[in-house]
Amino acid sequence: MKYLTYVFRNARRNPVRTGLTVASIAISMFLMMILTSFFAAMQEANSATKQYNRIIVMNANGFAGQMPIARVRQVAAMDGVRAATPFSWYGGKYQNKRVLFAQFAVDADTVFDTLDEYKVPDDQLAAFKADKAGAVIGPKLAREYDLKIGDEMPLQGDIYPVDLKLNIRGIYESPRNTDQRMVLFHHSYLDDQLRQLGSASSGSSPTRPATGAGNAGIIFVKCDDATSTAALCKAIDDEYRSTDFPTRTQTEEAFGQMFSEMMGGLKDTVFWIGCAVVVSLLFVAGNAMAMAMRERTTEVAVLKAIGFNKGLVLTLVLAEAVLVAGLGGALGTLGSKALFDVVDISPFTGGFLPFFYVPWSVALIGLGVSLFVGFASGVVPAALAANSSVINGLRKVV
Amino acid sequence: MIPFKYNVRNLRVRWKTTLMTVLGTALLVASSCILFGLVEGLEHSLKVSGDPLDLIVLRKGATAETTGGFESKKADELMTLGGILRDADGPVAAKELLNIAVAERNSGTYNNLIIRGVEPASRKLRPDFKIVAGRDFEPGKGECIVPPSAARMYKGARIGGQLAFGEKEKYLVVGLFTAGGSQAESEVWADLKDVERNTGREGSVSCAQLRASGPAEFDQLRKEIEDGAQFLLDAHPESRYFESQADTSTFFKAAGTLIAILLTFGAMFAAANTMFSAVKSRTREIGTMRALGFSRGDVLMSFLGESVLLSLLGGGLGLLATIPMSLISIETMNTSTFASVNINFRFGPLVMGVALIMTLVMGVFGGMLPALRAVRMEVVSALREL
Amino acid sequence: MSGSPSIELRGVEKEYRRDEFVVPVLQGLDLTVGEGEYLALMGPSGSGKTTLLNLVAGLDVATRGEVIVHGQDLGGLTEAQITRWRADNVGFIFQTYNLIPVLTAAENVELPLLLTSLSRKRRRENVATALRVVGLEGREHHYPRQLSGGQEQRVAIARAIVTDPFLLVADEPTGDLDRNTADEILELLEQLNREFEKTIVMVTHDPLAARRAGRVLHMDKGRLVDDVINEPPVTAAP
Repeated sequence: MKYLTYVFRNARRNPVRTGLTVASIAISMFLMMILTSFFAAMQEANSATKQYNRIIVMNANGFAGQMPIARVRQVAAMDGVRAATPFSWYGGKYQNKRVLFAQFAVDADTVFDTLDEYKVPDDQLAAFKADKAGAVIGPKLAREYDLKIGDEMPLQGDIYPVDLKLNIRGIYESPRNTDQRMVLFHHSYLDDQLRQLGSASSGSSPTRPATGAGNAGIIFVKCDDATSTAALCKAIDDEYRSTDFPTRTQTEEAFGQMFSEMMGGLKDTVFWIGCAVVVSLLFVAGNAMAMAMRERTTEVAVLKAIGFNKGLVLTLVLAEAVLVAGLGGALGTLGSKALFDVVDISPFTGGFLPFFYVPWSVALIGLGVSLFVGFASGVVPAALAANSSVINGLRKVV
Repeated sequence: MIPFKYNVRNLRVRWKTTLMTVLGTALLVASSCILFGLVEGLEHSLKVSGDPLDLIVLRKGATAETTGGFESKKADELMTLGGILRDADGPVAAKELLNIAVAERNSGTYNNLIIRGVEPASRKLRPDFKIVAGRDFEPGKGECIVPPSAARMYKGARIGGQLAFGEKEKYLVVGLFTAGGSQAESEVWADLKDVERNTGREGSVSCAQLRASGPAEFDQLRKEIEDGAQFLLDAHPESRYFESQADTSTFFKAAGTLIAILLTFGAMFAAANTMFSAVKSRTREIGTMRALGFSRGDVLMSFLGESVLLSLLGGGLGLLATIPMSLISIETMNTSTFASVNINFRFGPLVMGVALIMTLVMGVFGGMLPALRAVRMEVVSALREL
Repeated sequence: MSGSPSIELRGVEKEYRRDEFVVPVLQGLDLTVGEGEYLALMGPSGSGKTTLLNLVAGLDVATRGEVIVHGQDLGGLTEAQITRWRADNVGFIFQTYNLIPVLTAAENVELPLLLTSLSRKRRRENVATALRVVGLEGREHHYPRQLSGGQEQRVAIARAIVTDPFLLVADEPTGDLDRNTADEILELLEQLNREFEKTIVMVTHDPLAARRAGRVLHMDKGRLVDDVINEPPVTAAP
């Protein structure tokens, strides 16, 4: 510890070099944070849903498959089920443009009992339930499009051949790592519109039957407690296995996991790029350290002459490398965490990412990686310095 | 002008530093190139899918084939329209029915696959359709053909295997096909009637694809389909349709650009670091050259040149390293259809452009400050330096 | 000069290997240095004087023969042991001062003390004392670049004496200094030899520096060719 002054001063010796090395590492770590957080934040949000004891029922053949609306009531009546709501993807256009915020047809009476971490003030909830064309939207959406309670929200049909004229009756609040840009409206409203249209003029698609009406999409189910979830999943799947629309029921966490698994090759690519960046840092930081040490051969020789032994010299050089890399790593990891905690980038991603932040686990791992880079990049210069010949180092350079 | 071989020799003499810098920056350039190679692959497949004379017909207001279906009867009527190109087998037009279903990868994870029920003419409507292994399927036999990537990744997708989607939908894989790198190479193709039957959706189609016999007929067809009372459909020019499907591509491009920018800064700092050190260790030489009569401008250009050369080495190596990547394809999820999309890495102008820009920025901006420092030195103090 | 030999060289030979060539630098050297002696080594370039200095200081190891300092045969020590030995017994003074540029004068002087187990308070006290002895009170917080050549050398000397080693080894201590400053430094070395009884072995090209020493050894081609005792050290004319 008494040597810390020397180590610190050496790092400050060539501020340009140290600065550039720190900057290289900081930027690379910043990038790693972004890449890794993309998947890690999704993962964390997924795991966080475990506490709500929810399961999701979907068509076994694909999540875009059909789910007869009657099943919602059937499932709600099962033992161990506290509440259930359909969640049917409407996928409409807003202002005649394709948009990336989710619009779901739900059961207004049960949706906020099922999704209990989404909170709506009582009066707004009552207004929503009372108005068949009512909708509850997410706070980020309200901010982005400057929408207030009482405003209209017309949606143009894309998947479905009907348009919707919704009235905003409420704005929900939900935890940071959930989708705060959804539009939730009455399933019965959509169904009525579809039935009015009649069966004659619409064809079919993989996502819905002839009229399109009567499809619950997927069913969100709130279970009484954690122990009943597994049994319920099996019970529901068994019940509908041999029907026209067999089901696949899994916990909400597993459902989210399914999505991230679909990303498949992308995750691997991101992983390999991360590795390439780390290896690159080894070269960059290693080079910087090597250059620095080459300029200090005499100084190292003097230290050894005075009586600093090999181990001490090695440690001092390593400490410097780790310090510099650690500083860059801290800037990149903690800096990115602070940035994304304060700045909300979801509007800029056009809804592609409903939320984005750097989880602590990722930031700490990043810090660890940068310390490792410091160590690995310093090892060779440190060993060279430790083993350098004192006499040669002291030889006068003319 | 200070002879360039001075710079080349210096890079050679300080070979360890040169090597480390080159390797470090090459990795960063390679990473960016790979990302852009994937973006380029995706864009290429979207572009190549759209023939200028092709129309894709969807229900009015719909924006995607996967959800834009309409009645099969209407589709049949479409086939009789005048402006459609005809060849020996009849109109170059086909009705198609899409299904998206869950399939298991060999790794045990799942993704959604697009199963397209096609008619014989569908093949002509794709660029360069080819059976590359096995044979094409025969209608009505519950057979299918798959692209080579699917055969590699999914359980049961090899020739002779059975692809099963739920209880009712099973297809025997009889061949592998390619289609000029277009979107079709992310799909499983089966006979239209088989798909109709398996999904219980006789009587409807997802889309109809038509090729006009010429530009004038193209416009005329569009009018007839969109304005004709019996149709009430949208006829999208195929190229514009695929552009609109480019959500995923746009996101990747944006992400790729952000990443490349960050990597460029990283590389720039690395190159600058090396150049600063070079200038520092050659202070006396610089003083000597100035004393001999070389101007400040000469010194500036010399060091800038050395920086650019150093960057070219790194950028070039990084670019070369991505060439073998042409064999790489990644399979992931298309965010507009939530179905599997296969992206082939493509070494093209985007990739080379990225490498070039990164190299220049690294070399010129990274080398500028060190070169300026070299220039700002006073001759006398430079000569005094040890 | 006291009686007991503090440094003894017996039959010392030193060779360097350059590829397949063997370069002899010292040949059959016998030497005895007493406790508290002030010895100057002179000779042309390549005569082996710096090598001799290195052997005595424990920086290098003889190829043949014995180097015995305070009864300790340096040849029998491991690298770690000899490093420790140097820390305890030798102070170094170089021609180019070799101060650490990123440390202040006081911190430079403190360096050898970091190798001991003294508390920070004790270290500070010793540093202050050393700086006082060399006449640099008030410059503790200056960096080497803020000091003149003479002042830098004083800092280096303070560093050399701060652990109170018995032996001071100097390699051309006045080589980079002008005449007046050189005289001051040599005055300081004499003082250290006289008042503090430090044994000093100094390599120099400067005859005036050599005359200040108690004994001058001349070397040529790796051998001792002359061993002269000086008259009581010649000081500058009053």
